[in-house]
Amino acid sequence: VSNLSLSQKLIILLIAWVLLSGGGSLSGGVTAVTYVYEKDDIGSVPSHILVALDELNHRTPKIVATPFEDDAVDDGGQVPEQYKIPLTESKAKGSPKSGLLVVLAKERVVRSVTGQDLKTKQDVLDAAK
Amino acid sequence: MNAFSPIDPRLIDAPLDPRLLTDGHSGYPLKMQAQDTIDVVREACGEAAREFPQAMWIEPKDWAKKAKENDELHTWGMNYLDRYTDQSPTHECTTHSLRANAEAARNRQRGIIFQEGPKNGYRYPDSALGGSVWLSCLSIYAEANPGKWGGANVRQVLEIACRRGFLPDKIQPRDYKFKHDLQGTTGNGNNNQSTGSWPSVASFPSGWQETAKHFKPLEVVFPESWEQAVCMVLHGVLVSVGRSGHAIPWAMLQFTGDSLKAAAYPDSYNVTRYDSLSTIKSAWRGAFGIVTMTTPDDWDNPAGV
Repeated sequence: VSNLSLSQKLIILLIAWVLLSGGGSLSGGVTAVTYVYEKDDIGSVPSHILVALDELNHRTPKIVATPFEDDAVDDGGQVPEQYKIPLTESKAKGSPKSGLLVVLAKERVVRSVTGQDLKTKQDVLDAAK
Repeated sequence: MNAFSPIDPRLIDAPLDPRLLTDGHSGYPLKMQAQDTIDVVREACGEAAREFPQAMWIEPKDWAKKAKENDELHTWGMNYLDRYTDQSPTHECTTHSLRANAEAARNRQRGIIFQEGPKNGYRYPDSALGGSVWLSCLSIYAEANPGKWGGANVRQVLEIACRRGFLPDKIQPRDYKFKHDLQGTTGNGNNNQSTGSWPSVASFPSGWQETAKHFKPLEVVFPESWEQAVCMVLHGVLVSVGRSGHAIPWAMLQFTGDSLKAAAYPDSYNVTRYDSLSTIKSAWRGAFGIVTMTTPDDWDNPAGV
């Protein structure tokens, strides 16, 4: 270590900080899980997805895990800020009729999985890893 | 809470204790109930009104199976309610039913399950964790009936809520730093609902509309049969109805074997009671269920302050 330059040491320290903090897109730490759906397509969110979201909401570090009905808006009639990326991702995937689970690390989409591939609670939990 | 457990027959279609009432009713006299037809209530909702989504339909032969799933996974509408309210001895029942419907919809959107539903005298730690917001029944009722006594139509309270929203109750599960709030009821209230003196709308805190607009029903579904109402409850949506001079929200169903027997509701007297199947079959007219509420940009900052 003593042979490293100051800039090399700083880079190592920066990488270590990002990894240890568990946050940021570099480490892939999940910060939000959103199941985007349309009630006219599926009626309501399947129960096994609801119970998985509840479990994710109890994790540390904090994950905001929610369903999002694609017509819901904020007080100004706009797509709520926190759901803009998941909704865009859903539209990019053709707004799957079975819904789409979008996993975010801050503003980066880690992965998205269609509702038809989420047959059990464990499928949802695995997708959110 | 279990959809297949025996229930106390004294709690089924039980008339309210006369000591809880004023002028013999809780706020939804029969003349008001007769005025609240489906078309009238739907129109009062304006742009928020929605037809029953066909995707919500569940064949009656599959009702018990879906109920078992809701039991196992705790996904009844009752599981999205974290408190009772106590309106006694006021005439505020239509707004207490409405607030339960709205709060359950909002908690469902937040994705937090309350495993045992509302419990008298208890406060869930998850209410704070999940960002549950308790709404003031009075913030709606004070406009619906400026005279305080006599009750309010469903069409009135729903129209007010959809137009300008609820104010938060003065009691909240955590400090959201709301700029505006209001006592929840002029009735008894409880550990999770504030009580206070009668407010006129003119006496609401200045600028209150800025906070209320964050708590509006966005999509309200109107069942067109009692079977559709049952399907909504099976999907975790509360169905608010008025019958026998009292307005309540169905939040869970009760079965004997595969046969539907009753609907459970969190009554606005700190207790769960039940409507029989025959009451379900007659009381669904004028019913509604809130599917989505205004959604915040940040659940930890529900009024964007």
